[in-house]
Amino acid sequence: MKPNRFKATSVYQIEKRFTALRTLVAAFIALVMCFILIAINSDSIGKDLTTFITAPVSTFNRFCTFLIKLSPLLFSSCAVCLLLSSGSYNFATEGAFFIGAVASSAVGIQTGIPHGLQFILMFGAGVIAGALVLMIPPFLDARFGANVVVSSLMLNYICSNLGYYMIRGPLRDPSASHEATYIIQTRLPYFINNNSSRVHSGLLIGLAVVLIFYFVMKKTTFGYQIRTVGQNPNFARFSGIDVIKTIICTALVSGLVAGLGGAVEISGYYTRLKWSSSPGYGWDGIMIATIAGNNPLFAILGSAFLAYLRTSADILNIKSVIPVEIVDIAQSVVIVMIAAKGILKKTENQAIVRFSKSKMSRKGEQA
Amino acid sequence: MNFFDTIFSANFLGSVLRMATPIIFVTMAACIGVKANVLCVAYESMMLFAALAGALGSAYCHSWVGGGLIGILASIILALIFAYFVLYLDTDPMLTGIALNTFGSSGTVYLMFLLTGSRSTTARLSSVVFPNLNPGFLASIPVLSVLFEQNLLTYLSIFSAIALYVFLFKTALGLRIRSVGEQPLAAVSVGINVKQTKLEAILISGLFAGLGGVFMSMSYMPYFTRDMISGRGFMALAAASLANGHPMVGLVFSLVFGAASAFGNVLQTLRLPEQFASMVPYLVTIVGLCFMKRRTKK
Repeated sequence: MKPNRFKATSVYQIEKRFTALRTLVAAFIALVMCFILIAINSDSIGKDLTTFITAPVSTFNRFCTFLIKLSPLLFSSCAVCLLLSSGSYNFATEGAFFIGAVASSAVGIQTGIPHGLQFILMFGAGVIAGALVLMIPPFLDARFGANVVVSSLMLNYICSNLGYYMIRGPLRDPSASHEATYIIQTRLPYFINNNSSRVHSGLLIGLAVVLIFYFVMKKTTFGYQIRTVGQNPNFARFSGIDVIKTIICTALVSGLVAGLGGAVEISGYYTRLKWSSSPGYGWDGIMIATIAGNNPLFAILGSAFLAYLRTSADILNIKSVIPVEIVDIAQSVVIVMIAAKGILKKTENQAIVRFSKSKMSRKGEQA
Repeated sequence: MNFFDTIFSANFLGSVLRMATPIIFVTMAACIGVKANVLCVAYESMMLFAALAGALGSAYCHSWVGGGLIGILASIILALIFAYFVLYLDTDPMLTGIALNTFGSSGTVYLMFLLTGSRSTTARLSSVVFPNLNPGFLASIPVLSVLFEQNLLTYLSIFSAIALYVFLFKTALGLRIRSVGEQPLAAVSVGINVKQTKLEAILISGLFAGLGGVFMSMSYMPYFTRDMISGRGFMALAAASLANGHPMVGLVFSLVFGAASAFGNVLQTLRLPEQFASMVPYLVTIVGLCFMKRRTKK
């Protein structure tokens, strides 16, 4: 008998394949959802759908928009991957990203600091602020037993209000036409810069961060500790891992990443910080990390998928009347579909049973 | 105006009740969740859909009864979706809740745009609001008269806490819900269908969350605005977990959070930046979480 390359060799492999299949099905359903939502709203369905599918790659300029949208998602999804790997439902990434951006723009608007030094200070401020924010919920949990989910969600509201206060209060430039901070003095260099199409090098930093954390998660003791704690805290405790310390350290590290994301976004894309609502990257991060199964490497693909949808929806919103919210709707559908272990469960179980039976009968023949 | 005059006035008491009403309703929803051991954070989206459906429905039916019923129905449908995914498709309840909240925030905006052409409010529709109670002869009582001129839903919210207490602790279904939450295996052994009982619990949660949502767009404000729930569902979740699912204790905590919100509004008039004022209820929630769990843990 010829060995079949597609034949599964273990139950684990079957499970893995079905997870991948579910992810693809979910992504497909998300696209179909977008199509339906566009079709309901559209006067010229064919044209709008074509725009939606091809817009980000139709011109170089739009492709650059796609890359710019991709950059913050890399940071936030990487941060969430780490947090969720440690099994801690700490959703304060949104707040950490916002506060990171605010802290780094507070440094960035100061005049008279040499550019190199200001860069370091900006990034330092963003990173520290982000880490401080994300460490609060697990700390409160460890110290007082406060529920991480609720406290982190509450923390997001506190962070965004603090952010608005800083933007409209101490950091506000009164000469600006709208509510925004003073101009950021130091900017990240562009890595694509021809005519009107510019992409800041935050994307490269983001890719580097994701790759580093992929390595950390897979190849280092710290990464192994995080995954052990996430999968089975009791086992981790019995094997001598300090669970609380690991969770707080993970929050610290992912706070660094989220804060860095905020700092990069401020020094790369914006001339002034002017967010009037929380940017939502933290929530996007949760969605991407779910798609990616908390694997930072797959998070690149997930971020690209979401950034592509976002760019399409933005362009569509300018060209016709379709609201950008369709992406968020599709996004929530994707999260639920991927997380729904029950979908295709029957087929998966049948495959596992078939596999186990054939394995047992083969063993019988050998004996 | 003097700070203490403001705090110890009838108006302040009224605004505490007004701020607390939606939180009380949703705390009741969350109490059932706690008792049935269902980790549901989707109340935010249930409220949003109820609020939108209430505003649209009342404009369509020209009556607050119709609007209210449509709003509650919308919330129950959301609860049904949540229950189907969590109970029958084995989905992580946390992620389902988060996803549904994203869906609630974007879906309501999309629906509103589709039906009214506006992306921010339904203020252009002529929605009907729930009536306030007519105090009658009680209006002549000095300070306390404020207690008798609140919105219909405010009284209903306090009544619902009592009703839920009776339901959970004195009825057969309430007992089943509690047993399923506390010891599902024992419940199975006496012939209780765990999934079905949890489904019933979630649907009743949906009913209460719907009342909270309807209050937001049909009394607190006379129209729906995007993301108008702004964390009240989460506050209720905190209140219910502090109360460990007991409706009467939950009622007290909701009133505390309502007072914190009202207090924040007062601070705003005292030239404290608006943003710090908005922070107060969230801060109180976090402090409450820290303070209470420590006591119950021992």
